[in-house]
Amino acid sequence: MLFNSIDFAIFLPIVFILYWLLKDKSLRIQNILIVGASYFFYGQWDYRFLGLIIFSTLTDYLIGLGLGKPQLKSAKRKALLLTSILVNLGILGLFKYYNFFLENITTVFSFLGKEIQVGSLNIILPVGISFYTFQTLSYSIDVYQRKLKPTKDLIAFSAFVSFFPQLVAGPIERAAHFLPQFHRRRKFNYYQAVDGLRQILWGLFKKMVIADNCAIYANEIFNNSSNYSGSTLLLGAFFFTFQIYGDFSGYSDIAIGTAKLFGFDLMQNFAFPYFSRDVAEFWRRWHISLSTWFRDYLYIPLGGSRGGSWMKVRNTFLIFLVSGFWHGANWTFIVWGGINAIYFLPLLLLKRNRHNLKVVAQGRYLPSGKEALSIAVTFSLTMLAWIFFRAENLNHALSYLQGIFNSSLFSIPDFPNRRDAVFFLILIVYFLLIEWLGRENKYAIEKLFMKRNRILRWIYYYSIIYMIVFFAGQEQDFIYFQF
Amino acid sequence: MLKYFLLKISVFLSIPLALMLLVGATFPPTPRSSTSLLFAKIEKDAMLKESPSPRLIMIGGSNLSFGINSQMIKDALKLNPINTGIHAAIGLKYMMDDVLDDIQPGDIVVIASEYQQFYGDMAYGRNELLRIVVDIDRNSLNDLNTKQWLKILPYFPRFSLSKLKPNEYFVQQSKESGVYERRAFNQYGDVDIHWNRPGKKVQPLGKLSNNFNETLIQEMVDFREKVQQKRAKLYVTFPGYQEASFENGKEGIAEIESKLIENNFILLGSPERYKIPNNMMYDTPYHLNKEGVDLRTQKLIEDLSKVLKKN
Repeated sequence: MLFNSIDFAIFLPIVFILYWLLKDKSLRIQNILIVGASYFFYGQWDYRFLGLIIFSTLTDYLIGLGLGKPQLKSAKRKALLLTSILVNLGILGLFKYYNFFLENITTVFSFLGKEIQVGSLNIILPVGISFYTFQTLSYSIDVYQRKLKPTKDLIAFSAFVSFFPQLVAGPIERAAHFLPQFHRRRKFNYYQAVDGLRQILWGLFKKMVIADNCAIYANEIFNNSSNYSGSTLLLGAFFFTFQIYGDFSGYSDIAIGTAKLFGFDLMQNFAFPYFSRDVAEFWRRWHISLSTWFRDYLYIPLGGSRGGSWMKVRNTFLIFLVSGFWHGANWTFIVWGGINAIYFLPLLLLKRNRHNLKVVAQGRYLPSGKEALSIAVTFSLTMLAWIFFRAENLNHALSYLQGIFNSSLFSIPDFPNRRDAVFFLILIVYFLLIEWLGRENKYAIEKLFMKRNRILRWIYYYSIIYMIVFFAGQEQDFIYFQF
Repeated sequence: MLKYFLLKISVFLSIPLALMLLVGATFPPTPRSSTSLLFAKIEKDAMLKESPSPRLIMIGGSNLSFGINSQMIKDALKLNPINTGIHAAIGLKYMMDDVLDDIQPGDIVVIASEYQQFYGDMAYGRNELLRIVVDIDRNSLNDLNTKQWLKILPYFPRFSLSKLKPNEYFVQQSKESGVYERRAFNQYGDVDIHWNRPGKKVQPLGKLSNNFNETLIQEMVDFREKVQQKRAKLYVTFPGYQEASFENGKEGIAEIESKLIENNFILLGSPERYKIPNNMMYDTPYHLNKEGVDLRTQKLIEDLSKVLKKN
């Protein structure tokens, strides 16, 4: 069930009303409703994979209970944690990476002159597997590290794992932040609910107007890249840069907004990353829930930025490569991670990676010339890296890059529906303007026109609805569902 | 507070909703939309009512309108062809339901559906179905089932508000018809306007998605029963499909064929037989140029002759 589908438009109000009608009954019944609704929501893709979620839930629930026993010896605690890691990463490995490893092993053997025959598995990647396995894994690690007491409430834990707004594409919540919310009594909060709707509206705009339209041009140009000039290819990369942002941050906004309707607070996942002044800032603002997950559960345990230069280089590369690989079983993602590591390393080694912690041009309408230049450079670097993320394979990415950097880079871009694309570029400028105005908030329209009267505000919201209705691109799956 | 929230949301949503309903349901079709190929349904409905026996009624999407030369069929088989094909996005379910009332004893009914209809929910229509049932044939609104309603409702806001677009009312018709216009059809319901126009390079379609629509097969079985009750005959054939697209979708197409055989449909030819060379496309993998149209029609004539002789 997609957030931008009629099915969801029917599903959400029904669950919302039932949920708040049950508020006086008991917290447990409300949680049961969340679990039921979430399983139904997930089952719309494929009911068979519900078994995996339930398995993962039960495993970490039982491991959590085991880890919580005060008399348990250290070796047994380690063994339990290892079981959780093996089960969760095992599920992920089997469904997501098995064929990739197999292909590469076969290639290596073939390169060494030995042909081996290993049967690949004909399996579908379950939607959201990378997200919920990381979420449950973080629970076991937190309990192991005694940062969190294990829960005895299986229903609350199941709701934490399967909560439908963020089940299939995050934000990847931490148990310490999210699980206690299932134990607390929720009261309907009017302002939180309205805020949630506003965020959903903006998320739908990002997804349906920005991402789905960008997808049309990005797909056309990437899929036929050998036919296009350098300038067109550059424009294709530009469209994909906004497609991926609109798609994923739009999804996150809808997820966070939906959670607010049910009285939950999810973590911010995007903080206007394309206004970053350096790559380090970009990574503090892009897919925050994943970046911080890797930081806390991989980078810091490995020593983080402590130790010598070699340690820093090793840890940085490792975290970026793993992060790339998390996105998909393809070398393109690994190279994408590697490129970002290369971008990031100089900043780390020169101790400039925490220079831009505040919002750009805070309290001002316009950035300084230096800030504008930094934003443009960071954006361009990011855009070039996205080419690897979008390409079918490494050869495609390299030939795409080669295609950009030649004399045709200075020609006028030419591709089907070019005139429509010009109109659409104007929409991107509008989008950037609203994002810029709202960059000090959690999402762009959070406080826009809040000090104006209601009529003006409503007119503005109607104008967004109008744009969604009229300018929405052809419906596309959320890109991050495949991860 | 919850009540206040629900009330405010209702007020907020009811304003555009009321406007939408008012405009969508009460405004007539705009001059621009009235020229579109969907309005060819009016002529096709008239053909269904008025064509004399013996009749050949062809049901499908644009693979039929852009893929059949009805005159050839008429000359070869001495049947009166009625090509009801307009657009695949109307959905096969509606296409079948729509012709049912007009089927007469002795009619030969042939379904030639795009392969994509058998996968996902394509058979229940899209925007094009909404435009047909609201702007062209409002009586058929009652015939829609829940699945069809769910498919078309998301298009309603855009459809409604399009009636407020100024450019919908200022149409300058060119002398020569476009291929997607009402004027592009001939007296049998074939699009023939493109027969003397050069084709385009057509990108092949990919694999057919893996969620086969079993319900559609059952709906086809029900349709067959109703056709037989009217003492008419139903056959199923395959669309003329670009060779490259055929190769990409081979597995899915084979699944369709086997399900049809499993359910005892009388098939005219096989999918393989209706694979059309890549150079005979007009502008999509289902739209054929004149050479392709004649090739496909010739095959259909041969296949129809065989079964007609048998029965």
